[in-house]
Amino acid sequence: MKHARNAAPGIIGVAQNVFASLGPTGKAIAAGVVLVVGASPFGAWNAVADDAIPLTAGQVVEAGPYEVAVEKVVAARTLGDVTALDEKNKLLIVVVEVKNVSDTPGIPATLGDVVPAPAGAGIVDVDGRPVPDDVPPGERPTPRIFNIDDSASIDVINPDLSYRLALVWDRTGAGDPAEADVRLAGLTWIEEGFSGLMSQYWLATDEVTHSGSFAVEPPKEPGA
Amino acid sequence: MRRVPRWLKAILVLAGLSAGTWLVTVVPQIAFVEDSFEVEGAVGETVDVEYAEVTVTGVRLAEALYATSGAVAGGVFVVVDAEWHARDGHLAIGGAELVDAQDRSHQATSRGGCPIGAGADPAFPMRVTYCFDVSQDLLDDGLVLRLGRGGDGEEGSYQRRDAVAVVDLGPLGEAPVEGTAEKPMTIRLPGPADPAATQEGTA
Repeated sequence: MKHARNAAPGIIGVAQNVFASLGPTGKAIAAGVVLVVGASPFGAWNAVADDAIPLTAGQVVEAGPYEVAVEKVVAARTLGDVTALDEKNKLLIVVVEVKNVSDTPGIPATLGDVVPAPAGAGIVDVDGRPVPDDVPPGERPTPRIFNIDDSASIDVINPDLSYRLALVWDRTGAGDPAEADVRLAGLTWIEEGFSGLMSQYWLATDEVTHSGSFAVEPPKEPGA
Repeated sequence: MRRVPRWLKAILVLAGLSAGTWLVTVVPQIAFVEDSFEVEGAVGETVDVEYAEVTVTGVRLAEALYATSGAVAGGVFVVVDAEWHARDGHLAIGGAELVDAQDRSHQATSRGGCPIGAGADPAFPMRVTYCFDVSQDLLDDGLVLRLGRGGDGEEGSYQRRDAVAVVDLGPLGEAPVEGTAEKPMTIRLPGPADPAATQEGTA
């Protein structure tokens, strides 16, 4: 005599039973659906990125809500009162002109997603550990951002406004780089988040769209 | 009667779900359930927003300002002086935005130490100065100020189904620019609107 199982079969058990009950055509379709759904979170539908477009000084690039133009890259020990978190390290500064060309106020922090820490310049993270050049954009240290006109941080970029900003990273204190590879990454607009808890924001794609080698201006202050 | 295959049933279920999702996206949603209750007013006029009375006492322009540090505008600072008098209890008053002629929102800034929010109590009216860095090109077409309790979330998310004071500041293109890089405008931090109404403590 067969005994009924007391425990519920669970969602996996139900799925197994449903799958077993399908005919060959149904199984093929179900397998296809599982493959498609399973692959989606891993970027199965993302467009295949072409090689990054060459980036030069002053070139205006639209990224998310901003038009960004990289002006120059500077090596320094200090920027006004700003120093590296570890005194034995120095700073790498990327000067950018940024304009909000969208219809909504922009958060400067998203610039850190658009301009990842340059490669080949000895960038270190907040703990002072070197960041390898092959670390992807989304995992590179975020910059401290200052408005050059008043040397202060900036909290919002309203529509139509432009600022000349300094994006500042810590770099190793051993020597000064001659060149730095500046990359720009894209943002994508999320009208409504997957969970519905967040909506209308720019999400980093972490996909490098532009890349260029910039000569690094050497430190001006003595002993830097 | 011919039996419908299970795989076809599964496809029909998926098609039904897809059709439902599509309908939700194309049928207009009832947006007004999230709208704020707007109470219109003018500069110098007290606006009653149920939980408080709020008055815009002045609007000024500055290229540079100073509250606790210096700040230089990317465009021009629109500096709005307001007085809040809470009605029933303590209020967090951070819901400030400017809306331009194209219906775009512009957030207040904390640069230079400008307050982007403050507290207000029933005991006495509170003076708060808001600073907005906006493009000079927007001044001629006029700006509208929206003030409410709560924070400054995206598209007034903190003011949904709540009263908001809406004050038309009008065209500001001809207004004089008072604060300059050489002589920045001083921004006072939030405090009692009438300092005489409070008493300084003694040690």
